[in-house]
Amino acid sequence: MSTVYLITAVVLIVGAFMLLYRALAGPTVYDTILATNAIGTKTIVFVTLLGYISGRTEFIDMAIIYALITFITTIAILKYIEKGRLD
Amino acid sequence: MHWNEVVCTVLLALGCVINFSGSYGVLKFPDFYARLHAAGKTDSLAQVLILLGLVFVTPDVLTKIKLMLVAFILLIVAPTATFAITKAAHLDGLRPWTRGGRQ
Amino acid sequence: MNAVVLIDTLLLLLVTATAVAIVEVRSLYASSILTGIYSLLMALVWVNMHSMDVSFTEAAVGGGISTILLIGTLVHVGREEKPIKKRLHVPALVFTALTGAALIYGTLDMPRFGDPAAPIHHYRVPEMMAQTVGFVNGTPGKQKPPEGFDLERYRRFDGRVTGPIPADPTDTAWREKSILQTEGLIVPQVRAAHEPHAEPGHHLHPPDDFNGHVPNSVTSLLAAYRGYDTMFETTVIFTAGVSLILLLRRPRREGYLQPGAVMSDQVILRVVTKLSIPFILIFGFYVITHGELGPGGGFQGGVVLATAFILYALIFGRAALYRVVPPPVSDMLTGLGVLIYSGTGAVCMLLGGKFLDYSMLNPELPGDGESLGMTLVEYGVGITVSMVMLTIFNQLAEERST
Repeated sequence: MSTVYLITAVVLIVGAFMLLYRALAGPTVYDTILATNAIGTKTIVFVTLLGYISGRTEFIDMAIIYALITFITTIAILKYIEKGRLD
Repeated sequence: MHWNEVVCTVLLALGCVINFSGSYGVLKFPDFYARLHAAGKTDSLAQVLILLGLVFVTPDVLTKIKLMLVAFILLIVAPTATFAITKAAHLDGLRPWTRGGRQ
Repeated sequence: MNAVVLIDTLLLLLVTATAVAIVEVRSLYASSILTGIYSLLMALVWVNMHSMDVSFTEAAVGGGISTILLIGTLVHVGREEKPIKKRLHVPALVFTALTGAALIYGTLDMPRFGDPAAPIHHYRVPEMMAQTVGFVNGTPGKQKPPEGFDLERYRRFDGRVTGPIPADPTDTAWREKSILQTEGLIVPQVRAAHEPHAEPGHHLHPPDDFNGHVPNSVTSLLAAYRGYDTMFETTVIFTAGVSLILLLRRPRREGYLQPGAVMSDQVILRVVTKLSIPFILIFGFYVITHGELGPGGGFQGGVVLATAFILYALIFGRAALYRVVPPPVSDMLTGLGVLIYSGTGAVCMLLGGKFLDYSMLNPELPGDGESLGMTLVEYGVGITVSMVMLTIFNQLAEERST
């Protein structure tokens, strides 16, 4: 079973590499934001998988905080783009 | 293998395929909206599939609930972020790509 | 290859790629976003090493709030880096190369990754990890050592594994099992049998006790064993907040309550924000309270609480935030956190113990007293941290409108 988790985790990392390329090369700022957001969602699942690989399921607490924080960061970035300010 | 491990493996494999196709789409598609389509849809689905797959192999009820909670948060938060990105891009005047090149 | 090592290698490659990208990218804006990604990935590396508390902090502080604050800075400094002439600066190159070489030379002395004979695995840490966890009631003093525990042998043990390396490399407990086979029952057990102090009131804390009566050894170390350190760390954060207020805050009439830009015209954002804010707040309190049982604690929980308020300000504008948490209230709460921390210590003194000797809070059940004291202290830290973070955000935003 742990091989399955490992393969999934590796696929996630490979996907993150592709997204990182898009974040750097992306012609518009929105491509960068999109790719960053997608990497963020991948890390959420990645943490959970790491917990299952090493047999410590309390890692899921981390996944919850990642989900919330990625969301808030994305909103902050978008507000900056849209309004040019944060408050 | 027990049946729940089989279910988990199938769901994880599906998640992997969708995940990879999404990332590949973000890498290859020609314009922002197409890439958004690839990322936005696959992201929620693939991650939720993987999390659901893990639910099947978890013995502990609290952990199961937490996994479902993460999936639920993802299902609410990820589309919202995608929506916000789209709207910002649209308001910014980004137009979709067409076959004849940019209009 | 071991699963941990494989994932570590891939993650570190990704981290390095991100770091190079941060330096290379021209737009400051893209590099701030990439800093957030860098923090998330570093947090993953730490998760992989099982240091959950560090990872938690990195995710909350590095991935969350500092990205937001960096973007707040961009509002003032602009989005593009100033163009510089690209030419080779030889002394700088030599200096950097030498520093790098020295650092790499320094790592040669370090134990290899996952080495069971590394000092961390057999110098003091096993004692900390093997505290009388969950020891909340019963007679004062230490738990009895289990049957078959050889104290002399444990004290002599140098941590070297001589037994067979198991076939399954993913078995994380192989070291303990191997030592158990060759040495007998010494490692995962309590290094017990301290001579109790004769002095009344101190017999609960022999010299080597780390106050480890709460399951998360990190929290127990931070709040009890190094309680003074943590208190002064909180004070440093408090001082930073106060200095910021003294330096940057304008008087009330000079545009202090200008309405900010709002995003509440977007229905979806508004609804999702309203749905998620209570949840984030509850989660923040959970992280603070649960710090003694699992990963988390005051610093992380405080940052999570602050992000909830910041999300509110992002969507509904700063004026709305000021209606919820007016600046006088946040200023007062900043001080209140430090007061709670040091007050807990003072109460322990009044009850006849030492400063921050939490077991005095409940002399019959010292473990309970420690739990209570640590929870109070964590709440103090959490309140101060969250309010200082909020103040930083507010001041960054206010600068623009005046």
